[in-house]
Amino acid sequence: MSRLGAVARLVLCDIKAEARRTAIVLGVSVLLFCLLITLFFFRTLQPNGDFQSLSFTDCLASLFGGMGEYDPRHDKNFKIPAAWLCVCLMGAYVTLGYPVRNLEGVGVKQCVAAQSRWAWWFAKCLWVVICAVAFCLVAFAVCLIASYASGGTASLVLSQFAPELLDFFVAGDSDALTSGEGMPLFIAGIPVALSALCLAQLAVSVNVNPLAAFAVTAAILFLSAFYLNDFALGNYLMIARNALVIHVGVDPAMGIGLSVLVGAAAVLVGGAAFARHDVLGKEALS
Amino acid sequence: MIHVNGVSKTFRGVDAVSDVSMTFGPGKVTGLAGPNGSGKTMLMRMVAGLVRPSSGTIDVNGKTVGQDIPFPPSLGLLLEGPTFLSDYSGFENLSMLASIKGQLGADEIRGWIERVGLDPADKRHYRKYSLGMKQRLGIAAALMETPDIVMLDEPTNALDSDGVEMVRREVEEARRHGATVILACHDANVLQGLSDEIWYLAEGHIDGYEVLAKEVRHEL
Repeated sequence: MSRLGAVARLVLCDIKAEARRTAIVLGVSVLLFCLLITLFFFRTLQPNGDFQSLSFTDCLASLFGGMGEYDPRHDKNFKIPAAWLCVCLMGAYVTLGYPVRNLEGVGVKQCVAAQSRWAWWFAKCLWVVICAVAFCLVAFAVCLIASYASGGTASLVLSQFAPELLDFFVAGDSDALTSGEGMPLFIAGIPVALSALCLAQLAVSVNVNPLAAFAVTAAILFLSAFYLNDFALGNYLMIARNALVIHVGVDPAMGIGLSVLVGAAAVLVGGAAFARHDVLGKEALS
Repeated sequence: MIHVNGVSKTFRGVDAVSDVSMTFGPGKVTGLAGPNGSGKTMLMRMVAGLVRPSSGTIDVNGKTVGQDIPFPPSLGLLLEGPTFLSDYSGFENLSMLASIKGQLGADEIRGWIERVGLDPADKRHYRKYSLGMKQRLGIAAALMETPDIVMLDEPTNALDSDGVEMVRREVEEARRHGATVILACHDANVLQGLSDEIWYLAEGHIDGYEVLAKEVRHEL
């Protein structure tokens, strides 16, 4: 049995084993996306009682808008971008519980059957990436449907009213407001950055525990909201922090590169730690 | 042949296993006896490659577990009660496990389910199984690929008398095949009735060793 074959079989087992639960969590995510987009849509109410139609990017901004740069010297209160944080944490939650649950149960038999801890680990990494990408694709699909439902189109251009309603600044000469050029790179970067976050979360989750892992993810996102910094991964998940939107924003191409590096480091470091990790049963842990 | 060489494991400041040396041979059933917390399960986890010893080594056919090999090759194990995927039937669970090695067909899996006293056509999800049924499925999972090394930790837990008889039958069968069987069990009758030798553990140390004559086993 080749290692690659073992990884492929383990991933198939993981997808099948967790299909129902993942579908439920993705279903809850759809409800969250719909709620946030609907709230945004109602904020577009005009004095004459009409609503604005939304573009695809408007809907995406209501989920992944985030917040503008926070400057503690000028801005007195730090206002956490709750909607963005909820969406990102939901994405992280989709991949949170299963790997450890698997390891406490049938995963032990899977490791032994595959005769490799690395095979089990790579399978879980692949499963995490598949779930993170699925979460983003579901978000994009909801945005697409919502944009048409509101009378808009699949346009990548951000409407003039959107930044103001979502409480962030857009430079007047931004391509986001005119052509939408560069937006595909930001959109492509979302699943890559989320996958990297989830892989880092997986490494902590398996080697420490899921609660600590989720806390680390939340801390990374919180710090990203607090600091506009090229190395704070969460910035690449915010339209408001993107170089397409503000001059000092983060470069989405660099975000993809950084995410790949973070993801690869999480896979290697997490895997090396797992190779030496004591797999204890629930009884021993309790 | 499995050699446990001066193995210790300190876990959260407690010596779970302390300087244990023993040998497990092919075609033999070796019993591990001792009260709760005596280190039986921890020792089995170390032999299985799931837990790394703090000191000492475990060699399987000349290869050190955790250094030369991650796990003993051809190992079937039942540890601390079975755990499977709750939303799938027994057959689906065993099929998924068997798909990793790809050695068993559906008919063979059904055969094993029947052999441990379950109905292979039972579509009920694992979470609806009784404790005894879960235990039987765990035994089937441990034995279905006819492994060279079989580790059973409390295999008779939650089983009725028929189930205990099934365990006796299957352990005997594994011994006949030449498997190295390591058995931990609180039921002294079962342990003495099946084992060729018994290691007694207490507080992580070896507390005794007994070789059982074939006649004694058969009497029990």
